Amino acid sequence: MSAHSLVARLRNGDPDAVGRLYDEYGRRMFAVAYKALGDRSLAEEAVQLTFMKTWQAAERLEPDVEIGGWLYTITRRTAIDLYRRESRHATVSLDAEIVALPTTFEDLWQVWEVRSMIDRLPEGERAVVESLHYKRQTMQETADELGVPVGTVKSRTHRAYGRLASLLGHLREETA
Amino acid sequence: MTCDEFHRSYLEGDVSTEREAHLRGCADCQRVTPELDVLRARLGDPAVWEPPGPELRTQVVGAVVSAARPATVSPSVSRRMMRRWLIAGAAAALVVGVVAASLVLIPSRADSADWELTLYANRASPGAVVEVQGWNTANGTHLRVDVDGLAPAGPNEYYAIWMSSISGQHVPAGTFRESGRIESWSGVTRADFPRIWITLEPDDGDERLTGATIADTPGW
Repeated sequence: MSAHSLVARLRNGDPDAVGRLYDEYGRRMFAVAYKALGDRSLAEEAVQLTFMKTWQAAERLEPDVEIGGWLYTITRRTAIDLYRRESRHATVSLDAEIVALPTTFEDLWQVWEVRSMIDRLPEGERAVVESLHYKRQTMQETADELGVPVGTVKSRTHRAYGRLASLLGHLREETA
Repeated sequence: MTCDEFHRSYLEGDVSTEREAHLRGCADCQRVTPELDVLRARLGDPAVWEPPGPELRTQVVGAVVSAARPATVSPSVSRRMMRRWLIAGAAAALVVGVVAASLVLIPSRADSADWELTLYANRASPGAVVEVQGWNTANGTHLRVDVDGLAPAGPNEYYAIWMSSISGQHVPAGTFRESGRIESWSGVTRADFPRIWITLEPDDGDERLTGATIADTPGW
């Protein structure tokens, strides 16, 4: 389903559109919120609030709105609001540390973009990139974990890097 | 070495004289190198990889369904959309946990339930007792599930509560990880979805019903 038709369904009050938006953008929204807040439950709250705001505002959305960019912006703003809320309610010991959002807009945009790129990888390639970069496992450890030969890990890695490199170009984009 | 080969080599972290030679002579790759640095750094950022809880999608959709939106859509259209959405098995109308607590008025202990049910535990959960109370509301069903004697779910598992129709349509109605009281809400009615049951699901991001049955409605 195209983003345009998803927005149309959202504007018409179809709740299924929200589920589909979550499937498409939920993971990267959570990534941005988690980067901003550093807390899983707060990040999930930010995602949920963002969808509620989107639902409430859907009738006012322009039909040709770039919904991904819109969701990114609302997620970021919602996360900042939650951060401020938590800062106000933080204990005295925390107040000294919480003086400003510890991440920059550039950080958040990069997380959004890189997560978007990862979402476009086939599952097998995503798994090897996660293993090598996030879990910091070796090729052999990755092969053992995924139950595939080392040669398969290498070929998937090779293809994944090629795809990721081809998707470069947005990482310096101006933040919204 | 081509530019594509340079990109791959750079992301792999290989340092070779061939790669350095290509970089010195290629303006395009010199321009893209800062972006490759960002990409490589972010691939190791936990924020990029940490997954949300498996129940978040259901909570999001359930909260949206429960929220009153000043819609221009006629009620009949909304109901039709809702029915189609339910039939598609898309986790319709569910609020669990925190969402339920925040969006639904939870009956007090003094409120008598509209119906009560004791699920039978199968051999996978010997000794478990699951009692369900239900309140029929205008927007669905409020469920209170008291679970006793059920082993805690493993680190990569969770228990899921389902409401199912006679024709086999399954609607998620809450999740939990250990024995205790669970307050949840489903947008469907017991009349249309009479079967209440519990499965043990893998925490793999797939919210569909794939796990083993733990407790079920007598007669199913």
